[in-house]
Amino acid sequence: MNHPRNALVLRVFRGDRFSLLKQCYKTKKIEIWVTKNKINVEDGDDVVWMNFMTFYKTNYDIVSNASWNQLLILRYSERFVTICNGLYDCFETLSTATNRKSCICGSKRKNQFSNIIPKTTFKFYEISMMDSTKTKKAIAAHDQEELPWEMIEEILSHVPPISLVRFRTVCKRWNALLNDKTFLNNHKFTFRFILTTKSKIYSVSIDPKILVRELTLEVPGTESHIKHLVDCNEFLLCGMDKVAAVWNPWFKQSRWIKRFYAYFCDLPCGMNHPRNALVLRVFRGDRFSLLKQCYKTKKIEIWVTKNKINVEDGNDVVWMNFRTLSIPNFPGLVSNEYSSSQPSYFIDDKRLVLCSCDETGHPWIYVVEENKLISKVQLNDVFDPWPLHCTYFPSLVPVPRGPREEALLQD
Amino acid sequence: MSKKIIFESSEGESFEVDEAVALECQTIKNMIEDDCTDGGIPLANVNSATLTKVIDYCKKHVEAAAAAEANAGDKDIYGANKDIELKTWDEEFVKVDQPLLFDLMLAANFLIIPGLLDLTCKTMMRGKTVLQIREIFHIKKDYTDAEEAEVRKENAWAFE
Repeated sequence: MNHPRNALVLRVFRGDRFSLLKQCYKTKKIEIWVTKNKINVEDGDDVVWMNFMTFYKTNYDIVSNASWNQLLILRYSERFVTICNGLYDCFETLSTATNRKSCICGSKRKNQFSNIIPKTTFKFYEISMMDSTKTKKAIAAHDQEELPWEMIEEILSHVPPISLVRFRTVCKRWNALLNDKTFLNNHKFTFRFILTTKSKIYSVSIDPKILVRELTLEVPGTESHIKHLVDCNEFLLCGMDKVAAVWNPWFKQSRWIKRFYAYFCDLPCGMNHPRNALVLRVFRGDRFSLLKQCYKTKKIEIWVTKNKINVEDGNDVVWMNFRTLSIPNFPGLVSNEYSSSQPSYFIDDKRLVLCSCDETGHPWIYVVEENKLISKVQLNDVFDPWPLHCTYFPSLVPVPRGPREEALLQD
Repeated sequence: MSKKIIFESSEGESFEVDEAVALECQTIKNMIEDDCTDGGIPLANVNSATLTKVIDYCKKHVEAAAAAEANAGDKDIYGANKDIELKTWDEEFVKVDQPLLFDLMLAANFLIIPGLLDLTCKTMMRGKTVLQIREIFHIKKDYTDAEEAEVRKENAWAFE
């Protein structure tokens, strides 16, 4: 049921689907749904709607600013929706990335507009609608007393990580922001995968598009070759022949640790064929996830542990099935029986993102959403075949010093 | 002849630019695609001095991209030089006073010019001390002296 004061607009979407925009007149929240499939004009029974985007912090009131039947949604793209408010000739671009809007106004009938300035919380976005009776005045943004917080977040997301650590002392709010995972995961320097070849290290970021960058980093212990890479919350673990290093690549810090092997718990998949893909990962910080792909059927199964892992006791680990994916024509993640190269992966909200090498040793990124492969990209910039790869979300946590270094520091 | 787009600064001054240059701004790109740029685009929060610089930046980057396109295929030492040349140009471009740099950054954010936003943000923060940062952003220190010393000590390695 829709309140008559809500904005509610139905439109054709991408030629053969519907979209529906609704704005609650109270909360100003804007929700947009689209139909999942092509509309069959003869039968409306199997129309399935899905949420397309939601804007929470809009201060813009569509209904009071426009007669809603003249409202036209012009364009959806991945991150933006441009709304044309027909009556006032006013264009809004809403960004889902920041839930922030900017507003630009057309000028055909600008003299009528003086009373419809959308109230935005961001002073510098406010476009005075050319009230012709007023003298036009330059708005010098640097005169503003304080920048909106969103802008500060934006600026800091361009700052190199080491400088960010120094800025912890600016004020409490900045310090808190620098502990915020969401901020760090959107930082311009962040990435999702790290790949190492004999001579080079690369990072791969996924959003907004898949991008490979070469990193200039020192690998801990340059002489010995890294045999394994494992992500471990804030750090990367690099396994060499006999030792291992804890590594924060953003800070070029590392520390040697001892490694040992011990039985912890059973895996949920029973006996595993050696040609299957089988990868264990930390999940949501304190749980495990396990991905298995059958080499024959290419079916992917993912399990997660029900509870937090108690590192001292693996006996009460309970596994539950998290997802099963049977995607037609999905590639095998372990390319041949001689290869020991396993895929790496991470799961965020709805997506499963995988990195794996094909039979020639070239890495690919696969993005799976729901039960569909939505993108598949070969990382051509990685030159040498068979790189080691691992998911890793960089953090601002320094590698803890050992007791000896601490003692030296105290002196 | 290529299509022209007209920007109007906050002072009401008009700036005519090639469509290709205007397309560097994502916000304007959306408008052009929606075909709603007739009669000019008023930018009431960008003053003339800032807009002049923004247009310079977009022009330069459009030219550089065209040059790179023309040279594509023979990725030789000259290609690399072009890249360095553009970087040097960028560095010179942001050698401006703090208020203008601030305005450029806000304009880049508003018009969605990712390259310029990145450049101005980095320049703004580069080499700044904590005190300078507080001054630029009008931030009041809310740590006690002891708290500040503690946070600094925890992160001392980053100040080395």
